[in-house]
Amino acid sequence: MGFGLNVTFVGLFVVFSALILLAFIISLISRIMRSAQGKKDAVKDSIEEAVSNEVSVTQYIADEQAGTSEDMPVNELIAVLTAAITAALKPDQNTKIRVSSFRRIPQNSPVWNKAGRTEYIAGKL
Amino acid sequence: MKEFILAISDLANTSGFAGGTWLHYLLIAISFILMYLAIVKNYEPLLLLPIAFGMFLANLPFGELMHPELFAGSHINIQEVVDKGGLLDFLYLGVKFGIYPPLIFLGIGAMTDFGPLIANPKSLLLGAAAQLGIFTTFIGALLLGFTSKEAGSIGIIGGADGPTAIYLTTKLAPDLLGPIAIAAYSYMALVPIIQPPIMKLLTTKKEREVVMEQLRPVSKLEKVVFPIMVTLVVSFAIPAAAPLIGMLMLGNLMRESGVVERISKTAQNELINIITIFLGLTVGATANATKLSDPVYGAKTLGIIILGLIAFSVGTAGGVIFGKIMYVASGGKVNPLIGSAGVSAVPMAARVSQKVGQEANPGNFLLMHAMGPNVAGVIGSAVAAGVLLSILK
Repeated sequence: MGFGLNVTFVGLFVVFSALILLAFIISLISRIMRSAQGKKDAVKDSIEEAVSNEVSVTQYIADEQAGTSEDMPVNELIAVLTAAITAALKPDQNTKIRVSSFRRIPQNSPVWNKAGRTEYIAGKL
Repeated sequence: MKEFILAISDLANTSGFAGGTWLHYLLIAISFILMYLAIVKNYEPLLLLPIAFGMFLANLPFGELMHPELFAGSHINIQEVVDKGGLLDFLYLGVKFGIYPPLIFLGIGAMTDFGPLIANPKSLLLGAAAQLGIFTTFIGALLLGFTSKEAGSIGIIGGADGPTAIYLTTKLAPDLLGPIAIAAYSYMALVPIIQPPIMKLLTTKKEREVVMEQLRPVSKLEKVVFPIMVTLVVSFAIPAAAPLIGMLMLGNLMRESGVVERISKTAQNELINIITIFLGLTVGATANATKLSDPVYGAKTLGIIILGLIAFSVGTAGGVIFGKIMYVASGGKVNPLIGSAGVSAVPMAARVSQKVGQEANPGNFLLMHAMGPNVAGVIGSAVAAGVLLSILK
């Protein structure tokens, strides 16, 4: 029994130590890489600012999309849905589209597909 | 006429019907149940189907496809295997020599995206906590009278990692390889049944409803550095884990480097599929009536099946409890359900976290968050196997 407890404590200690060490190193590497990337981006941004005075709307869109759907007011959500439908259907000038209601439909596609879509959308933001 | 009856009688005496004992029929019946679970219930069919059919083939009376006596003891007489061996004996050499598990790990590495783990390194802790089942079962097995080597091999079932369980058992307790491998793979297939009640029991609805923040995107450089760094750290710390971790990370480096697409695809498709067929068939074939007719071995098998289930359950509970600790420490930002995915069983355990989380809150999407602890569990169980190998060998 003493031997069993000894192996258990040693085993758990080594497993935790090894994985904590890995977690620490991963965090450290990520931080170094991100700070290096941040410096690169800062230089790039200042160059871009100098050559163009155009107002970037990307940040605005990103800020808007960073909020969860629960935070988004219903009117704004309807506006977004209407814009998306209009863009997808490409109606002529005489056709008017009005979104009168919306609801969440049951998720039938495999979760892996949804994970892929979420990742793809997040990568585009 | 007399000659005709004699010939028919000889034929009947050499048929399987005359040579079968009740154990043959019992194991054939169990193989049918496993086939049913694989084909009808779709539980890990890629593994369960070859295992079930291997068990079926090895228990056909007078079939002579597998000779467990050739592999009894710690040394193998290769000439004897060549002379007397059947098809499954030759394939079994890959298990016995510890070749298949690292090759399976190569394929798993080539298929695995460690991005969720790199994005959230804290999930490595959940992968470590879920190894609790391995060590508690180790104590349980010692108390039941198993030797320390056997207890270590039984405990590793709690790692929910088939190749690791096979690898460690071939090194520590080769005689118990059959029941341990079958228990490990069967319980892995039953993860969707075993885990949810434990997860629900240990968490409140409020905790299960927690929606986690989107993971940050991980750069290619981070993904390329990761396998090299893990191999370096783990292999230096626990050299006994090097064959498994080394191959896992080689596969992953082939995937992430993007320069060897051809061999990366081979590792994640053809190679792993071929090895899975060989491994499944031969592991199933080790559940042999000849061996089980020994009452001591039969009792040990029963003990392994019970202890394996305990190992799985304690591992799941360990992950969820640590998930709860992280839930409190993070101020409610971590959903404790992702902790159960720390038991490996990639990617099924992550899918179970997703399913249970979505039951509590339909808007919940835990899959990628659970993949972090899930792949951390693979590393964790390989490290645990290395520790057991170093201490017990």
